[in-house]
Amino acid sequence: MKKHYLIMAAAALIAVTVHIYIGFAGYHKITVEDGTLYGRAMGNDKELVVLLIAGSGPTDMDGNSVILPGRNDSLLLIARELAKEGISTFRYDKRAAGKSAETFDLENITDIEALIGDCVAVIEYLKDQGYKKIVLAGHSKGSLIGMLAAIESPVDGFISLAGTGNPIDITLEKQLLAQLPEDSSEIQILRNLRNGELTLPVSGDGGELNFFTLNNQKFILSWMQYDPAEILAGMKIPVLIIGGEADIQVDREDFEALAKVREPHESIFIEDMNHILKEVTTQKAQEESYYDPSFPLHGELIPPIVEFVAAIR
Amino acid sequence: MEIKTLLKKELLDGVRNYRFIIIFAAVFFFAILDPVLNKLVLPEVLRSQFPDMPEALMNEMLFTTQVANIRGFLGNVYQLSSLIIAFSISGIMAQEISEKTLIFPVCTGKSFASIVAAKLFVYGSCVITATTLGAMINYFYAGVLFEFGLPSAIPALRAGLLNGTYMIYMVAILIFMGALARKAIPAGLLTLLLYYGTRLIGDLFNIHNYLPSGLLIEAELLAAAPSLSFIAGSLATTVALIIILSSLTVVRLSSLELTRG
Repeated sequence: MKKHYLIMAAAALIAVTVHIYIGFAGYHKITVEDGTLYGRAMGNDKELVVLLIAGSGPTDMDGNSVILPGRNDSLLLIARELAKEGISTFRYDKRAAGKSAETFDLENITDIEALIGDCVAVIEYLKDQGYKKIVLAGHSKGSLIGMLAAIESPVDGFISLAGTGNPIDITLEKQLLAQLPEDSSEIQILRNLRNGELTLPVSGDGGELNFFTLNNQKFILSWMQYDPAEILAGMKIPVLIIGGEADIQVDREDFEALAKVREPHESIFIEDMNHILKEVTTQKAQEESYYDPSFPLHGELIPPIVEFVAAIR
Repeated sequence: MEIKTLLKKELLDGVRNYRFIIIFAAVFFFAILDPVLNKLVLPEVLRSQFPDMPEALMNEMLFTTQVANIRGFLGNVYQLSSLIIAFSISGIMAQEISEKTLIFPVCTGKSFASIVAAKLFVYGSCVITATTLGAMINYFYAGVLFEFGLPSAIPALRAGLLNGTYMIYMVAILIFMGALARKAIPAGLLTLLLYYGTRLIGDLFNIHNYLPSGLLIEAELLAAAPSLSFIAGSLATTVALIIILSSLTVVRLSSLELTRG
């Protein structure tokens, strides 16, 4: 009888151990001044690594956000697809997302420079890990962060995935005007920011006003000073710009703004690809793809990335 | 040798009582019928009941993709097939105790642990085979009738295996409840209470990754890239609970006077 109680205790203990182990296993820890960034590597090739940089909001290393229901796994899927092609990748949770968020004071994230600094720290970490070549692949806002990080810590190539081509206030204004009237408080706040003014107090019944918290306003203020197209034009490394025709967040105008400052062969515009890099042909699929992980990546996304990486290798 | 005899006994018992046929039928019924209903019958029913309903709204209400069909099938397996299976095999332990037939293997020197392990292995293998084959049938059938929306059969295969693993958990509960209640129907009812309750608790407290119900959640997502850590966590809990339930069954059987039922 005693034996059976011991078996039960052992089973429970092993299950608890597995849960604890899962919480830490496979993570790389990169310590920065005010916290720790958690990352994951995929693939064994030490010659070259593609560093995936997540987009805006609390988007984690897999491309998922806690403020959106479900998962889309876009960055995880890229890592898996590249691993199949023998390309190593590294992804990390930004300071406001995933496991990294547990170690940072989220109230203090008020400028984009902190995120650029984090990206630089990850690049340096990868260099220390022995990777000979590093290619940055920034998604959405991660595209701008990648560009700015590449200036501080030189890398071997840069990929912009659905990255904005204009300063963020222009993109934000476009997005807001698609949903709100010209005289709305949100548009007014944005225009105040253009004049370098913060708007106080910010209150509202949810929705976009909640987006314009004081901290977010400070963050946007630091973010809107950068013009991605201008920065990209000055980059002296191989560049690949990828945009999607079905992207409702970053439109063709943004893509064109980036594409026009580079050589024509450096940009690809993919039909029916949305912002999270999935193939969508209907409005329903567009919405579902943001929270339904059964949607695969657009079939035309990975081949040009593989080709681009092969040329750098 | 001991376990081989017991496995043979369970197999023969299952065949003789049509339990395997019921398990496969309960799963395959939905695997085959769901896509046909969704493609042919339900649209006609809706059209006849609501002739003015716009096509777009109707499509919103119906399962019109392969993915939606597989999810519908998995939902039916969880909600309905399990109900049929739980009651059809509720006697695997309870009936043996109430009819005093459990005494025979005990008298021939078989241990309670082997008896429980044999039942778990035979019926566990059966349910996981049924759900996996069912998911594959549904994948191909829904794909042919609608359109192959998933990039490969792997998400469906994974879903069948995960769903089947959750059903093995149900079999473990059933064996334990059979030893506890000693009557088939109460054992079935108690099993379903825990079976559905596990998912309910997971939903209420958002702790599926710590419960066996996480397997169902991950199965229904049909993710192109499964969350391995989520599956591993949920699987660890499931295996631990199966071991604990089986050990508790052995402890319970040891304290029973088998000739009294």
